[in-house]
Amino acid sequence: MYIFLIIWFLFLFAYIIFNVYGLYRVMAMRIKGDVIPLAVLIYSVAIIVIIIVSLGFFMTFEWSKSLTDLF
Amino acid sequence: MAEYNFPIPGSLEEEKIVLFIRRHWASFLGQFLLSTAMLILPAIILIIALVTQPQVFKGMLLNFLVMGLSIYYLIALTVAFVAWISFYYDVYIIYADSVVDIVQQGFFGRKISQLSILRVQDVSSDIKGFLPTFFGFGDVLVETAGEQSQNFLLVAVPQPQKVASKIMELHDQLVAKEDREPGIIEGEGVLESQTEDKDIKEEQPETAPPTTYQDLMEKEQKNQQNQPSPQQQTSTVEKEGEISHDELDKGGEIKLNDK
Repeated sequence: MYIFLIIWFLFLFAYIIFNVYGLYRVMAMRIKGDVIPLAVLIYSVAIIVIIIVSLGFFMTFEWSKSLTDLF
Repeated sequence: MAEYNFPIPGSLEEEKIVLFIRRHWASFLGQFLLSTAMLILPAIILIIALVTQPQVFKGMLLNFLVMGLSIYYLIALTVAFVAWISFYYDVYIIYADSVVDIVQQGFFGRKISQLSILRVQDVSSDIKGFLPTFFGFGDVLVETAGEQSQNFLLVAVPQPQKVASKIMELHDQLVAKEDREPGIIEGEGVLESQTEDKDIKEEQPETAPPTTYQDLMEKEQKNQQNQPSPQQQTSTVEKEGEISHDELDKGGEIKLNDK
């Protein structure tokens, strides 16, 4: 089952890279007086909350079982 | 503090901005409701399933469920944020002499177009549907003349009639300021300068041939005085408007007197 955990972490890695570059681009093309900093802050906090809650659940789960045990 | 961080042809000076327009918030209502539903519906379904069928949330299925939900929420959040960015960064800036249209497409797509107000031929506003009528927003179509016509569609602009009339007002002001004819010359649709016409018209009397009856009569008399006697005339004598035999041989060209 660790393979799924590895896949999730790989997805997370790609997702974070995409978002960091995307937010960098967004911040680079800001317009004077816009609300982008606040929006980026809310967006980042939401992402962090989802990741932390997911990791919290994952840590309580049993991942050592093999796939054959499922069926 | 961030400034206007986007590359626009020419300089972008804040004091020259006449109108700075964003899309009306109501035009984002549909995407907002969809994004909210994408974020809330799975949670509601999970709560209902937890109450009605708690056996599903046991064992390895719970691992997959949490993992799937985690990925789903991260993607849904990004989709919602990208939709908002695309809405928020759709900006229309109207200067005294040009219209700038900035269209944002996600994180990595941005189209910036600039149109000279002098080239504007027609501006129309369009309010269609219940929400646009209720909230007072609509589209403004800015059309230009000429073969390479470049039309601007300002989407979901608040008070489109006012924006359209403002653009036409700026166009009229610019035409008056530049002292230009309202007529459109062929080709590019660029307005012809009146000052250039004046220069040409002033030069014309000096070079143009006499056109009045008196002028023509005076010229005729001068020609008659300068003409040789009939004996001296040969077949090659050229009168104004007559064709000589030589010239007929050459192809019948008519020579006009230079004097």
